[in-house]
Amino acid sequence: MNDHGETPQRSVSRRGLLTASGAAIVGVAGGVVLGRTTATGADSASVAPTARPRISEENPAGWSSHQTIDFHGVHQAGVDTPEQTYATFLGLNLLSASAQDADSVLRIVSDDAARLMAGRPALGDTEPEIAEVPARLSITLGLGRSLFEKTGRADQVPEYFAEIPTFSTDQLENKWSDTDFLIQIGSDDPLTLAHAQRMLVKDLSTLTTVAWVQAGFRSPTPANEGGRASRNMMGQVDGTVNPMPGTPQFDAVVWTEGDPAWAAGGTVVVIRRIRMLLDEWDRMDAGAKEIVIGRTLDTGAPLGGTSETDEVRFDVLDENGLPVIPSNAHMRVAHAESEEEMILRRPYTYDGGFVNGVQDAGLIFAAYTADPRKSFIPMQERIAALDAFNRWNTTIGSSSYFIPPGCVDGDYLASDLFT
Amino acid sequence: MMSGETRLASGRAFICTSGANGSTWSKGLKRSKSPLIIDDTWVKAADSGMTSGFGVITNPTNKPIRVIGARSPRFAGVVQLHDVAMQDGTMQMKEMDGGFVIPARGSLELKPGSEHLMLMQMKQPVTAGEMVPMVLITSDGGQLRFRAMGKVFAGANEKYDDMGAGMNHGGMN
Repeated sequence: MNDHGETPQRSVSRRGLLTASGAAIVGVAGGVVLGRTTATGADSASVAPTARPRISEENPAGWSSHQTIDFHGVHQAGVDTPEQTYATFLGLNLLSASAQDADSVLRIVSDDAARLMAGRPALGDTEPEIAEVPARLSITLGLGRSLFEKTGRADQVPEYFAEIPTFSTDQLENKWSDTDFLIQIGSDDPLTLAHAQRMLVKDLSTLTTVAWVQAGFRSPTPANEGGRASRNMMGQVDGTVNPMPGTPQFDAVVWTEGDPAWAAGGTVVVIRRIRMLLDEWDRMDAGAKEIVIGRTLDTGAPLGGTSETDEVRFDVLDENGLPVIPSNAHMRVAHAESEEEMILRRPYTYDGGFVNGVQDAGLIFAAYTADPRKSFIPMQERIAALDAFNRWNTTIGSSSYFIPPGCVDGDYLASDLFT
Repeated sequence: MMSGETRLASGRAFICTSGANGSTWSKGLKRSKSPLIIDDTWVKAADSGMTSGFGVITNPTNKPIRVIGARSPRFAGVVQLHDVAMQDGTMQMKEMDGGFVIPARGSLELKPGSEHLMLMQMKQPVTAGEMVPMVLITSDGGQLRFRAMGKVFAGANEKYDDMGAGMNHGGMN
């Protein structure tokens, strides 16, 4: 009941639904007529349909419900896209070894992505209303090495799409390993993301099976005002050193070039599932934590500095003649030794519940690189050998995919690969 | 329950079979490319028997245009124009006697539970992601060729009896 003693009704008029001819229903976008019965008891069928409830442009968290990311373009979205609050990574396997089936997957994902990212329902969308709130939805498709091999396209694997070795500190669980396809879905609205995921999985249900799902989230609030990095579950400012989208450095670090021609403008993603040993980390005092990482906890400034973006100086010594940032500090070991070694970090937090009473939480660490042989692999080898932080985290999953370049309207992703 | 055979036996003039009634559009009318536009086209994936096709037909002209038939020779022996409506207390599919009229400067959405294309006597499966070539035929001899993507879809079923009974017992409010 509202203030005027009326009972607002939003229910579907059964009479209207059952008697309306298809043509009458068609006149209303989305299909269902929402009537509002007034206190005078007017027949709901005679009341003009009200407009769809308005969704405010800005929600309290500051992002826009209706903001869209372009699907069509030189590169796929979801890489240079500013991180959405939620991201889910899906590993899928092709049921057959058929190149035609693989091509169908590319068509279906491209069509669904183009529509859903634009805030429009997918074809045959059973919940079209959810699709109308895109909230910066991006859908990104990756191809696994096994897909190339099983479909007879091994000769099309780009040389730079190298296998990621198992590092000495890895304790990999098979359930997070390489698959034929990756679908990465990001959105600021978790319901939108869940809908896109369900639509894609449903549409691919006769062609693929889902091997794993890794759902992640991040704080939409940067750790420092004006900064880009937010905090992870250990409270650290995470993702400070990243190339800036739109710069020549970003293009060189992320996008592939050279042979094969169809693959130019793509990227390689490495997805690492890193479990944080939070209960162990809790035993450490703040000062000890900072020494392990090499940055302060409050601002994320490098030790010896005052703000997150301060230039990192490894040669500064303390009063005892020791490096202010220890030689085995995480940020020092993970620091790119050349521009060629840089990667794009796009980490999300996962919360996997409790395993034997211990919380299973950590990072879905997604690294994007034009050539992991020159960047991710040497960096990770150094981390495995030296990083003091290894004691408080364990990599339990690892997979990598080639993210093909984008496509123009009317085409679909990697359309030359299987035809 | 309706059977495809019954509908076929009742065959009406607008059905574009290749023989018998002689498709009205092919006699004495010059075939031409129709000004109609069709978007968002898809077909429910199916192995055999019959299935449904959907899309949004837009008429950019100042005159109504009547779609009188459809064909998909590679996939279906017959394509009918159908509607879904209440009949004897249940939701049932039926052929559209006059075809689909696309209003001047307007559009018609073919969708599950409403007007749709019925592909019958399927010649081969429609699989997910497959592009099914189809053509719509209008009363003035126009042809609109398009391709529709095969999609997995649980709805758009041939029997509506159960759903109709369920709806009559309420539960939607």
